[in-house]
Amino acid sequence: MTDPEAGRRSRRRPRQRVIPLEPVPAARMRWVFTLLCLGLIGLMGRMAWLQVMQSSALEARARSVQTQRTDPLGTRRPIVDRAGRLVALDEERFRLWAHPNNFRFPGDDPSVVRQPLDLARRLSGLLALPMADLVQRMGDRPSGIRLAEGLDPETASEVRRLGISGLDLEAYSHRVYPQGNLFANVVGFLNLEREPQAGLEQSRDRDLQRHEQSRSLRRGADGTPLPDNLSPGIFFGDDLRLQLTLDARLQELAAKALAAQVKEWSAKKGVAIVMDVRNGELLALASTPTYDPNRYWDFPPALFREWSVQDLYEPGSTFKPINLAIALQEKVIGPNDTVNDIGQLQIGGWPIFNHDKGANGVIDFATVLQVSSNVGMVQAMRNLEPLRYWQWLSKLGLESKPDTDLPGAVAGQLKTSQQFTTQPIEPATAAFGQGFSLTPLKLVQLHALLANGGRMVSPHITRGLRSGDGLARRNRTLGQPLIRPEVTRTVLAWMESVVEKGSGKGARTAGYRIGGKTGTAQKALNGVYVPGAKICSFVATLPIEDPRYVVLVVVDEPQGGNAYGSTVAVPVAKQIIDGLLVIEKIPPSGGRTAHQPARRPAVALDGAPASAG
Amino acid sequence: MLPLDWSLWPAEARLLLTLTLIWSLAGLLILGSASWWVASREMGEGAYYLKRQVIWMLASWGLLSLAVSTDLRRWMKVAGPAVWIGCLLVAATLLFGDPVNGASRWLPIGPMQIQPSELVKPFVVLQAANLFAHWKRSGVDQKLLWLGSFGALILLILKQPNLSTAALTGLLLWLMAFSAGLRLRSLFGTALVGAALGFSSIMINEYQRLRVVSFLNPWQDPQGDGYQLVQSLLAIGSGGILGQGFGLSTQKLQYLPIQSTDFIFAVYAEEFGFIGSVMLLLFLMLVAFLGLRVALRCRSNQARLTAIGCTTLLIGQSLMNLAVASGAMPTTGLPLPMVSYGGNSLLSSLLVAGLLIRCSLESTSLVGGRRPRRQNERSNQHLAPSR
Repeated sequence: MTDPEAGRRSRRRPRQRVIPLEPVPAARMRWVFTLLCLGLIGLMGRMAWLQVMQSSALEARARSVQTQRTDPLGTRRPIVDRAGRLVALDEERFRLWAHPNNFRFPGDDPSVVRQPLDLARRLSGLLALPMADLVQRMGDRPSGIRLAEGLDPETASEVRRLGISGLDLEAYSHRVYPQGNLFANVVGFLNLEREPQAGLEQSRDRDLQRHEQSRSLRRGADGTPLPDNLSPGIFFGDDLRLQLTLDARLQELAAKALAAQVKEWSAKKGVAIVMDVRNGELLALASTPTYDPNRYWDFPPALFREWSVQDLYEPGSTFKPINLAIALQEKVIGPNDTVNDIGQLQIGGWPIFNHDKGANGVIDFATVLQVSSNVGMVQAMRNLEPLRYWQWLSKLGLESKPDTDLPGAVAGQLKTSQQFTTQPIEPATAAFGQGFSLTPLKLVQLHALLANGGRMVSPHITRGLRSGDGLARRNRTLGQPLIRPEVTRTVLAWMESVVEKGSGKGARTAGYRIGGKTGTAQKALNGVYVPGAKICSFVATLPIEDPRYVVLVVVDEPQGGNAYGSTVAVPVAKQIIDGLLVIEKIPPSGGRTAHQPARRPAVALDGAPASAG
Repeated sequence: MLPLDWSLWPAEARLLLTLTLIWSLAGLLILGSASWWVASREMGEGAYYLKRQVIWMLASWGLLSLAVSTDLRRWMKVAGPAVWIGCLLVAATLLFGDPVNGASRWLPIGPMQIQPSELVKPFVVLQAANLFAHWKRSGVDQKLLWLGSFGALILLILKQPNLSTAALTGLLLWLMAFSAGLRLRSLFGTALVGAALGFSSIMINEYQRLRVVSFLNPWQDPQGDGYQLVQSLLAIGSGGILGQGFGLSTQKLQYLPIQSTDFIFAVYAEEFGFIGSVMLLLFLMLVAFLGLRVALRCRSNQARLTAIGCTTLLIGQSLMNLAVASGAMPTTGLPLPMVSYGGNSLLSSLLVAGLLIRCSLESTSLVGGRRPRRQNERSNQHLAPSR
């Protein structure tokens, strides 16, 4: 211990004095205690300030750091074709904002501000923009400059990797149509403000908007979400895709064939439609001319509507099989009846000719279709009371808006029942498909009705929304039956003969039984037929033994004297049919190619003379 | 086992032992809550820190029982050499230490990391008690020798740099000297010198200067120098009056840095709120009061000074830790006794608690202490129990 030592040492001191050991004073220790207590009381005050007075402000501040809020980006669901090929999708793009008053490279002193030129030097390669452009864009403004737009995620991450302070990347969604103009006519497009402007994008806008909600989620600093104050469904994200019934390959094939033909005949426009007759699904709806939805601003807005759904035309001869089916259904003609085609009729003061003004004599209905005899049709339909005829046309929905998901579909035009019944010319012209008008889509629907045994199916191009990579199943709706199946079988047999030896010969395909009907209709403008203005069309049904598809090709105003349904529309339909047979893997129709052997040698194109049977 | 039959223990000693036990167990609970998330993220095991703390806690309680059952005079004898060894070890950290966060406070001994500046603290208390107990009767050489040793220790700790421990040691010595009844003039003179020393240290070391500046207004640079304090204030403020509930702190989820050591109080305050904070402070006040009672009851000057020194060390360190966490003091790295993760701190804190309890036991004159040889020493005991 130190006591004795201290004692020893003190003896050596000059002043030999024993210093008494003073006890540690209690007062001093109380002072120390008081000091500690003051400190603790001070801390209580500090805690009261932090945890009572400032608590709500501090907690709010803490929560704002801890809580991550995500706002909806306004993304849209993708659109895919029937096989899942992408037709429209959202891509993440970036907008690059520059704030020159804050330009700093990584490692720079915080007080340094770089010149826009330094920045442009680093960025111009990445953004593929000339330096001068960038510098000019920045100008003298201190901040908030939109330097570049539409950067893809790779470029954006490279820009981010530069670590330059004063650059800001803003993510946004951009609609991309990878198939270009192929589906533009039905899918439509979004404008730069992401507002739907046409097609399905517009008509099914609500279905295409992705279900997004802004959500607040408290997280740990490493991003782990905390199960705290969560509302139900907060993690729900949808990966739904709108699936079309269209097939991109068939669509492309149809579009190419059609575009080539429209160009060759200098026609105004054309459309090719392929429908599955069993449920009304459209496999192709190709239209020309069309536009590229990725660059919609380069095209006239008139192209943004699909004319085959929105424009009316007089179908002409392609409507004759429908009329015959009506007459057979009403039993005013028999399957084996004949008519005497005398070449010319006078109805209500109006002359009616065959298109070649020739007479075909006594012919059966197969031949009427083969030679496309107007006079024969008028004589056949004369047996049907005009009111009954009008009622049938009305029942087939010529006047009503078709039940379809195609945007902007319009109803056809039919004379009033009073006009139809009091003026004999009306039922007479209707017999060969003139004097009323419909859309090509409606015509396809009516031919599908013949093909599927008399049921009215709704033409449509969407199958529905499906999650992830799932594909929607085929729609199995049965349409409303309107015509007896045996009637339709009879008409189909007649149509098959048209392809076998009539005006539709160009569509003949070895090994397959195909029915069809050509049409070459005059165009009317303000009630007057325009000379030389024709609409050439061809409608085909295949395979006849178990009809599954209707193919319609319509070409508007092909130029040239030889422009007929058989010359303009049939070759396009033939290409589409060839493609369809392969794409849909349709087996050949067994040995027989002709269901109803012709009694007479085959006739040539539309209107070639045939002698009476 | 017990150095004195439990029934003969003074009330202070019993209470202090109980409170130390409560403090230790509560510390484990708080550490468990504060460290679990980070441990499971960084170590792959939620209980990683807790397990190690429990082992250290057991070892530290062993040390406490050793302190309680060992004669205070024997501790006094080893105190001087221990301070010198402490000086050498602190010097060693400067040469061989592992720098952590820019400061080399740790010395790797085998698998363990020892922190000499932490372990030397109880011996500083003991040696200061030795020195100041009869300050007026000590020779100048003795005074100079020990004041010089303490000064060297503080300077070495400052060099690590570990401003907080240096300041705590300085304050501790000053308060013990104050308790010992030294002249106020020389005390305040020393305080001035110490303050100047601290000030110059702050001026010389940039990291300390930045901390001091950021402490004055942490919101100025919440992502930089003020980050730790801002996160701590957010945690404490989020606690509100009632707290978020045990285990439910959000700030501990890696927002708050060093949440299991220096800023563990912020986690506690967020989970237990103002009520919890006040209870902790009242608890500390009770410990301080008991410490004062023990000191007043003690018979020898050494024991008195040891008791008040131990109290000052435990409560003062807690106070400083809380003041740092709540932004009342510049951000420095001091552990919260019995609560913060770290074996060195636990060993040191529980040894100090054990010494305090030992002082209380010896105040009964039933254990320890030599029979007083000097009459004057005896006569100075104003509460001499009859034997």
